[in-house]
Amino acid sequence: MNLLHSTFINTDKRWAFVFICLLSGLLTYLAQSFFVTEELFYYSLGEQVAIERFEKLWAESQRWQWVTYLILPILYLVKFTLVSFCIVTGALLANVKIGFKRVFQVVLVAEAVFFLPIILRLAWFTFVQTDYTLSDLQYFMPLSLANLFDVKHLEIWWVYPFQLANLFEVAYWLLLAYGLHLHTQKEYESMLRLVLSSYGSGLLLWVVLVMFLNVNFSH
Amino acid sequence: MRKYVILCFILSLALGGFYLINKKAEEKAQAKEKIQTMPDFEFLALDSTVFSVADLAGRKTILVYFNSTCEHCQYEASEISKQIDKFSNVNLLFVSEQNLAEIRTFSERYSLDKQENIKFLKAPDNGFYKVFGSNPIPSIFIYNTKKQLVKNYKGETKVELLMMND
Repeated sequence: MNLLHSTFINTDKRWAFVFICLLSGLLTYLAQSFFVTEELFYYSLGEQVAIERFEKLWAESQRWQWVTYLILPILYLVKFTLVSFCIVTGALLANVKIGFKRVFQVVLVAEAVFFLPIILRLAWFTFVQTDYTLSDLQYFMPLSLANLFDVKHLEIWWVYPFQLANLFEVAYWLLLAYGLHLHTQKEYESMLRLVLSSYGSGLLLWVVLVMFLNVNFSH
Repeated sequence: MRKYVILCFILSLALGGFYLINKKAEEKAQAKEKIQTMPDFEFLALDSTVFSVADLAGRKTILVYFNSTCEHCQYEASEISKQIDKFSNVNLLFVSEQNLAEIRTFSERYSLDKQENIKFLKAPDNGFYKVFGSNPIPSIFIYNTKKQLVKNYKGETKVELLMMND
């Protein structure tokens, strides 16, 4: 608990951000290199495309792979800023004094929990389910509703909320509340209520937005 | 008090969003059902006459929804053109929402403008979506002689597959 305490209080925001981006980049690279092979991609298209055309499309997608790594820090920055903004707004309304920078620090540290499902996913497809399809990779989310139900038979816009309903998300809320509790010295339960009402509201709107875009733009 | 007003506002927004999602999902399900049999459509042929389902000869129909600027559509048209003999006993409809001049140029570029079984048609803006409930480019709909949907491909599709589904 002391380690968690000092991590929440002493973590340098800049280095934590760089670390998150690098680790995420590394895990993405591993997943792309070992799992998303040319053969898997071809069969996922149901052999709909002629092989020579597929090779061209594959080469093209590989050429633009670097963009994924380039936008990672931007996506993380947007995510952390939005989550921090939700919590700061909630804190203001609840008369809890905490600055944006401290909330940002808490959000950065709590993010670590989301590396667990990514690592579990890598381990799962390396050691357990070694025969898989591209949709297996896309839909797999350990300890989530998506793994309890067969989401492949659901409409595409339901997949995201089913994936999001997972134990790591719950752990994230608990960590956020704990970090806020350490910084504000307020009761843990009241900080958990603050996280649920502020971040929870933001997350609800985000889920609705993602579902809305999926239902409108999926084919 | 202010806190509860904001929470109620967020909840109302989310409920409104779910209502729209549900509405759109129902529309999609209905459209999916509707295209199982070739839906009635009236599109404009290159000679500016109206072309409808009733004008189709009683044979297999392959309908390609395209845009002349789309590289995948260009490839699809060129592959069909190269193997045009295979399509002699098929109604081949190319439908686009572009203007007639652009559609005509496209048909000529791939030498698909002379065969009686091939029609290039212009749908009104958003007209294809209204009838077929889907509009990724290219989209391919294959109907059998009874005008029942056999297969719907989204995206570029190799010619062998178009001929496989009878």
